[in-house]
Formats: sequence, structure tokens, C-alpha cells
Amino acid sequence: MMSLMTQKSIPAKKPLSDWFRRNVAKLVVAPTFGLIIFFVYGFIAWTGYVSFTKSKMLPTYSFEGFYQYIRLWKMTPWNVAMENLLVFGSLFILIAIVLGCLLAIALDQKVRAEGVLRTVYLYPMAISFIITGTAWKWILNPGLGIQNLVQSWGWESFSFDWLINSEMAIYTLVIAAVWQSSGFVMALFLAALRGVDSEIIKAAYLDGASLSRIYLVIILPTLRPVFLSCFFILTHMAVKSFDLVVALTGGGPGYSTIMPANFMYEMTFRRNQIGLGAASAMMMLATVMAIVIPYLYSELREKKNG
Amino acid sequence: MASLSIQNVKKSYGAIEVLKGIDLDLEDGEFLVLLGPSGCGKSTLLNMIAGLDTITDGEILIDQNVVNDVHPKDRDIAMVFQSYALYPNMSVARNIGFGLEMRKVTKEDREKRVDEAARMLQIDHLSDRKPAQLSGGQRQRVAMGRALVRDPEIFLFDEPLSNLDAKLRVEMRTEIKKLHQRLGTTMVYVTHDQIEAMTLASRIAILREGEVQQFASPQEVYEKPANMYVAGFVGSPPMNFVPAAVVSEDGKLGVSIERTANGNRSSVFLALPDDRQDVGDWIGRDVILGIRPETLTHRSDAEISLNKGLQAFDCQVEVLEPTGADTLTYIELGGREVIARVNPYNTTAPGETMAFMVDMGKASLFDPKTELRI
Repeated sequence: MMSLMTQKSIPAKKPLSDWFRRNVAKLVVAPTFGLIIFFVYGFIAWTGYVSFTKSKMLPTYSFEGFYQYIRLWKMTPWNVAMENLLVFGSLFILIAIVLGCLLAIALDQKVRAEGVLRTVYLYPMAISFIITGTAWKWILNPGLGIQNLVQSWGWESFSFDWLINSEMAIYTLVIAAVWQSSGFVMALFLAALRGVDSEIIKAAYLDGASLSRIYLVIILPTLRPVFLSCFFILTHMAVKSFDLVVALTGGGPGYSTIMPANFMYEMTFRRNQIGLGAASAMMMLATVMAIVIPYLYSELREKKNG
Repeated sequence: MASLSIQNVKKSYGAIEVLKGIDLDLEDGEFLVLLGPSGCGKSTLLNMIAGLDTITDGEILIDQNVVNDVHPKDRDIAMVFQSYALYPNMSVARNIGFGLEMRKVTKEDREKRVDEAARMLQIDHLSDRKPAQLSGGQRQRVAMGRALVRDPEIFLFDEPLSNLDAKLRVEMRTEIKKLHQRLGTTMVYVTHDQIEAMTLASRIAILREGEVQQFASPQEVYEKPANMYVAGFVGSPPMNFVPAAVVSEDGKLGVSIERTANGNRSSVFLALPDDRQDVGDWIGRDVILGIRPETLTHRSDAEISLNKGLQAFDCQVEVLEPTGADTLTYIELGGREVIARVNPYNTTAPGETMAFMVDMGKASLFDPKTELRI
């Protein structure tokens, strides 16, 4: 068949090669496009459908309406998980952005060992959350880590037991996640700060603005796109955080630090509640959508106006 | 308004000396242009006047007060930057008023002054726009408005026109000149463009490798350049440099130059005017004769009879470059290419010999070794 085609295409060689040239871009993109359509959007649709069934260990396909969603929102662990997401997400995003931004500003003041410091701050990002979680589990373990160390220095009454305190354990997740991500935020901010025209800073100096004023009033407002990028990157990290919880607290004490992703995994793959797991996954998707869609809307609208 | 005095100012970055002792004195209301190629230290000097750069040695005085350790905001100066340096997130009006805002001027007063400055620069209809929505020329005006509204003692300009297109540059140049005439404020202007320097300055300081080559009025810089560097930097097309020998012929002092005419190579004697008898010590020695293209043109006997400085000679024409008003005529004198400005109706075809005259009264002589003016 191959030889047939080439033979046939000799007189019609030009139109064929023209067609190929016109469509080469589409041809190159097509396989990836197809795979994404199937494995990402196809599976989202499948999960969405399954969430409306009473699937247990194996998926069933009889439509049952919002049964799983009503069940989901009646479960205490799920409500705890959503609350945790809110607390962890907002604290993690806020602290990581503020800390990263301050680090970037500090490094932007022509520090001598900038290259070394930049690497030091950025390195945690190269480590997986499993390692971060394990390391912080040791550091925060009252019997092994900080509490033990300070007590061995002689401060016998010192106590730092957040990891085993069900009220405070969620904050240990914030500490570890901030430690890992703030360097990355710093790198983004530093790159943007380097792009700021140094003459603007000089002009502001002559206008009589103090350094803090220059940053607050002039430079940081121009970094709005970086703030948004950081916000969205950190948001999706927060929503899908799973491995950090597994490594650091295991969702405990009890289920006090469980996150929606852990809940979803537990239901779908351990407790044979595929329908319920699917419903929780859809709720996570909805959370992300609730943040991303207004952003896309405002960005696209702004472009039209600008 | 204020006088400005720069006394033996030096600047080094480590072992590299950028400014090697600059001395400049500026009267109240003068327009100083710092002219030089990139890397000559002119912008560094401006930054030091502004207080954005530290002074390694020497003193800068504004109104007889040493300002070496005075914070930029307390020097009462305003600066216009090359990139305009507008605050991108602020409206035009707030950009202009920001300096006043920082100086705690009341809102009413501020609005009045911003409005005044904006109207003077014809940007009052743009006050709500952001810098990104402005054209290059409009940004330039906003940058000037920001300086203007502060009503400073001294204005500093750091190559403010170099990012504009040619037409706009000429327009804004005139605008700056008008501004100086109206305000009468002392201004310091940095540029590498000699036409900007000539048109704007009341005095020009030509810098090269951190040293002042000449500090004089534009006319003096043009007519009596202190050395060959200044002579070559100022003027377009640049001054012609012709190797010549100082000789005495029939009791008259002059220079002898080699050239080709009617197919023969020979020397021609060009007498120097009587007031150049100081060159007497140079008889028999080589010099460089500097001739501006417009003082070298086609021969006119009527003019020669009126001006004793004019000397005639013949020379073969190499190339013609018509520019409309004049035709640039390339000839060869003393082994160097020389440009003459000739009326388009008096030109001769390339390869043929033409009669020229040169105004020796306006010629410069340079020492070939030191390159200094004799």
C-alpha cells in the first residue's frame, strides 16, 4: 500500500506536499491533543458521571442524582477536610507570598552572597513533599526534635507539641509547606524585581520617597501579575496537597489534619466507595474552578478593554 | 534658581577611574550641556550632581553650599531620565504630582500646580491615562512635567530625547529650549548628540575618558576647538584634518599642502592671516590644518577681493554627494580625504580639476603630536 501511495502521488506530489506543509502544525499537535482530551477531560467527565451513581467497589452506571453529594456533606471527616483546606490554604498562600516577597526584596538590595542565598532558598522546591513531610515530622516530634533539643539545653518546661495536638497539628502543615514553597515564590518575585527599570527607583528617590514607600507605592503594584501567578500556583498546590499530609501527620491526630485529597483517596481506593470519592473529587474541582474562572474572566475582559 | 560649582570631582569604581578631576562653574540660569561619547563619564557626573552616586573626591556646590552629603530629595533638583522612568501604575496626574505628594503639599495646591504644568506641556487632556497608554512623545512630556511641577533650583536631563524618533526629537529640543528661556532655571543636560549640544547649550563641556576637553560656549567650541578630539566631535560633516608644513614664502607665513591638480601632484601655498604670526616658531615643522567644510568652497574672485583670509587653489574632484542645499565635494589634500561644501551650481564632474578657496582666517592649526590647538 505504501508503494502504491508513493507511486500515485508522484504526479500529484505538489498538492500533497502543500497539504502537508499547511497542516504540519495540526498534525504535530493532534496526538497530544487527543491524549489530553481522553485522559484529562474524558476522565473528568467519567468521574463526574460516577459521582451521580451508587458505585461502591466497582463502578455502576445507574443514575442516582445527588445522593453521593448529600451523603458527602453529612460526613464529619469531609467537613473537617474542607475546613482544614480553608485554614491551611489561606495561611499557606498568604505566608508563602509575604515571606517570598520579603526575601526577594531583601535579596534585591545587592547582597554580596546573592547567588548562594538564592540557591539555598530555592532548594526546598527540589525536594518532594514526602521528604519535606518526613523531615519536618522528625523536627516537630516532641520526643526527637525541637522540644527535646530545647529541653536538653536546660529549659525543662519548654513545650512544642503542635504535631500531636489535634487543635494545632494543621499549622505544622502550614510550616512545612511554607518552608518548601516560599523560595519558589521568592524566585518569581526576584525575576520580576530585576525587570523593574532602575531609573524609576532613582526618580522616586529624587521625588523624595523613602525605600519602603518606593516598594509599597511604586514597585509592588507593578508586580500584580506575579502576585496572581503565585496565588494560582500556590492555590492548586494547596487544593491537591496529599503527600505532605500523608508524610507529616498521616491525617492525624485522629482525622484532624485530613485534606480533601486524602479523603478522596481513602474513600475511593481503601473503603470501596467510588461514588463518594468521585463526588469529593468533583467538589475539589469545583473549588479550583470557583477561583480560576473569575480570574480568567477578569483577565480576558481586561485584555479586551486595554 | 541656583549656581552650580563642580570642584575637582573624581569618581572611581575600585581601581578604575571614571572621572579624573572635573572642574566646572556654572552661573545662575545657565544651560550646561555635558557632551561626550558613551562611557565618557557624563551620566556618572550627572548622577553625582543629583546625589544618586557617591563622590569619591572633590566637592559639588549648589548655591555655594557643599551638597556632597545631602540626600537627593533635599538638593532641590529635578531630573528627567532617558527611559522617562514614569511610575507605571499611576495616572499621568499622579505621576506629575508624586514629588509634591511626598513633600506633603496640600491636595488643592498640588492639583493646581499639576494642572498648570500639564497645561504648559499640552498634556492636560491626558491626566487620567496610565503611562502605558501614552506615545513616546507624550511620556517625554509627562517626565518633563514631573520635573517642572517641583519648581526646582536645577534641572537635570539625562539624554532625554534619545528614545524619540528624529522628527519628535527636533520638536522636543525646541520645547526644552523654550522652557529654559521661559523659566530661566539652571539646567544641566547630558547628551552624545553634538547638534543637541550646539542648539541648547549656553556652555558645553566636552568630556572624554573622564576628563573635560573643553568648557566654552557653543560658538567658541565650534570655531576654536581646544584639540583635535573636540574639533572632530563637534560639527557635521566633521572638520577636515590636513597634514601640512609651516613655511614662509615671499615674507608671508603660511602652510604648504600636497594635492593633485590637472593630473600633476604638487604643493600649494596657503598664506595665514596676519594675526597668526605666532605660528612663526613652527616654520619647517609639520602641523595639522583643520578646515570646516563650509569654509572650503568654490572659488569666487569677488569674495576673495573682500576677505583677505580667503586663499585660492586648484584641486581634482574625487566624489560628489548632493544634499540639496549644498553638494559635498570630496577632494584629496595632503593624502587625506577632505570634504568641501559647494553650491550645487558650481560643481565640477569627478576626475576634473576645480578652483577652490579656503578661509584661512577660520582655519585651526593643531600640533600633530599633542593634538592640541596651536
